[in-house]
Amino acid sequence: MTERPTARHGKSDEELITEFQNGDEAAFTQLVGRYKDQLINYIYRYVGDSDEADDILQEVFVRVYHKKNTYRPIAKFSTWIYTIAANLCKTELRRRGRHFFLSLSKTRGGADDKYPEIPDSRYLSDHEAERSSDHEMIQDALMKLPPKYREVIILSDLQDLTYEEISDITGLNIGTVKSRLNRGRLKLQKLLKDFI
Amino acid sequence: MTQENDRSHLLRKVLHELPRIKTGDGFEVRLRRRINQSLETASPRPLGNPSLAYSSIAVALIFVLFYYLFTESHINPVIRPPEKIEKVTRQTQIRSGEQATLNPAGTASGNETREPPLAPTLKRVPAVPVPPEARSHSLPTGNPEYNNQLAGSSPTQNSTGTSAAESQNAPPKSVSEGLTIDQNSTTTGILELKRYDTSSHNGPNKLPFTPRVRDALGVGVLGQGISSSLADSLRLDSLKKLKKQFVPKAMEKRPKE
Repeated sequence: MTERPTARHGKSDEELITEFQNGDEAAFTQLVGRYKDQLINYIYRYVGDSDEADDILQEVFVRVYHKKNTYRPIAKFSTWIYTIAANLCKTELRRRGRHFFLSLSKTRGGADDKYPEIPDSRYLSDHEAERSSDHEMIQDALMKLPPKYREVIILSDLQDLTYEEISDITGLNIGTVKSRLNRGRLKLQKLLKDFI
Repeated sequence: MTQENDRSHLLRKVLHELPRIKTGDGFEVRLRRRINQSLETASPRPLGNPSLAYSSIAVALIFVLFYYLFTESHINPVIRPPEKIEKVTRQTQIRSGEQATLNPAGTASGNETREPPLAPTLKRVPAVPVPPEARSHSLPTGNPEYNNQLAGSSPTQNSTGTSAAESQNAPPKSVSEGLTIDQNSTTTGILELKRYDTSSHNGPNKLPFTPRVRDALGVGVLGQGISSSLADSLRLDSLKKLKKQFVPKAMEKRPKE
């Protein structure tokens, strides 16, 4: 269960961001301390790479630092920062897909004319069995989900956000959030049918 | 159903039990360094390419030059739309003159003040001063009832009707002398015929150009010249017949003064 950081130090997130907007750098440090762990979980589960997750998390806080004046207290700070993180994750996934496509075309059209090495799953099972534990299997299954289902499942089942908060972060209707949750869970169950 | 619920519940439990990842030890330090780097790169604003500044100044100078050329100097390149050449056909000329003559209000004001349009083959003749009695000949005042119906004017205009009849009986001026439609008594008579013919069908403001009146006016021939059409004796005969047929006798008989 993720600890909700808002009530930990007395001041709410909105009060802290207001102080930071007024020039208090310590308020920003407090906000970083509150959100870095739960955001790194969210980002890592979304992109599936710890190094990239660390970079994205830094970028999230850099954006918060520079765009502090764009925040309006009509929305919750958590929603705002999660929205920034989600957008950066989507950008990263898009970049990754584009990079993969470019590298494929570059390899095929290059001088070496090498085909990408596609691992044979028949020979991976032993190696995977050695290195992966259960949670890595779950993480792999999560990464096989389409991003639109993965996003809501992480926000709901790992971050314990409510439907309304997920709706605010993703910009979807609550009904859409619920339906995506159900479909995503069904898909994940199929992927993890040997495990569950 | 319950099996699905159980599996879903189990899945959520498994997802909850996933290990929480934590950031590295020096995360805050790295973050502070990155923020400082971004501040350093963002604060000194690049001055930009000097060639861009020069080109923008040159463009501004060109604008100023053109401004002074076209506004301060007397060269005003005013783009005028191509002048619409007013194409007035002969028929429309005649119609306009005719409508002025056949003003249903019976005032014939347009006929009095305005010089009638000239036929294309005829020379333009300066307006001959016509006595007012003769000028009002185009009023169909021979029939007072008709006159009242059309314009609601008083029957006192009968006096002008007598003068109109006089002018009708007066010998027509020669065509070569400068024939205008309104001044020619024959044509005026034809116009009156047309008015009698069409006023029973239409309102006072609408005078349709029926084929019969068109023939009587010789509009088709007017394209070739009024003089030739009027010189046609056959046509004149037919016009006289029409006139006798349509013009009431009250107009023919004019009281002797």
